[in-house]
Amino acid sequence: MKRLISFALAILAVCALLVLGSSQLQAANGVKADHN
Amino acid sequence: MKMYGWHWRHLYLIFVFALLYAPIFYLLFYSFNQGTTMTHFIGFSWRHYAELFADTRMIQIVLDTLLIALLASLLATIIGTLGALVIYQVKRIWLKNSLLSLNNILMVSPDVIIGASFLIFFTFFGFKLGFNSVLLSHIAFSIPIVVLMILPRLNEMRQSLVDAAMDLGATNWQVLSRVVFPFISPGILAGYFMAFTYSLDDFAVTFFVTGNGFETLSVEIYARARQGISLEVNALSTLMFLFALILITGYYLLTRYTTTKRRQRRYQLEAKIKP
Repeated sequence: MKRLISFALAILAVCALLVLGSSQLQAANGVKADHN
Repeated sequence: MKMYGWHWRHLYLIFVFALLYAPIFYLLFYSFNQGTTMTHFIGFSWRHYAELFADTRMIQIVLDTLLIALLASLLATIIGTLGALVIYQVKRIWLKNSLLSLNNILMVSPDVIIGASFLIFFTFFGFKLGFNSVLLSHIAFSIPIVVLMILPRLNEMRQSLVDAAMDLGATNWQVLSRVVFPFISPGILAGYFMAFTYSLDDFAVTFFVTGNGFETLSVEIYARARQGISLEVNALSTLMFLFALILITGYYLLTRYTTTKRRQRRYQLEAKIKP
């Protein structure tokens, strides 16, 4: 049970990193689109 | 004669694997092409990889796709595990079979039908298409896969295990967390990874519910392929193939390591017990 919960938490941590990365890129893309 | 049979068996295997991997290796090979087409190999170049890493939109789509796949499969695994436990607990055979049939219908239904029905559902209720609609639809089509992966494991579990825990004074929660979940955890993990794979490569359902402003990798590649496929897609495919290869190798090495460790511990324990 503990292993499953830690697995789920690890996935959630990866998801948080992906959200962060995606929002950064989205902001960068928005700036690029504005320049174009 | 024996040698002859051995030879043909291997030849057949080589043929099958060549058939499976030839298109992938063709794709990988041309990702290093200096030119822009997949017909003539001009020379070796990292050009398409450089273009890929400069394409922030594509990188963002890759991250979004991974996010959707990870999150949808996690939520589908939680819901599917609870669903499988409920189906397992049902005593009436007709009800159990009906629930299983309802679960299996979703598995065999064409993706186009599921995608179209989700689109109608979301638009009927005025739900905005985008990240949330894709996530919800991916969760929905992944749940039957998880249930199918966990139910056989639950059926394998002997009722005496649960009865013994109850006799020893375990509460319902303790039975679930210390007996049932550890027993079905390989099924849960298998279900999670199956759901992840299904979600990652889904095209049809996503195509219907993706809306405007949010895209997954499969939909983006389809959109780009309509304008003539760019070798940037080949570079991305190569990286994803390598990523999958590393994951599988890592999983294999981890499994081998834990099996060896477990065996060693058992031998040590047996050596201690023996006089």
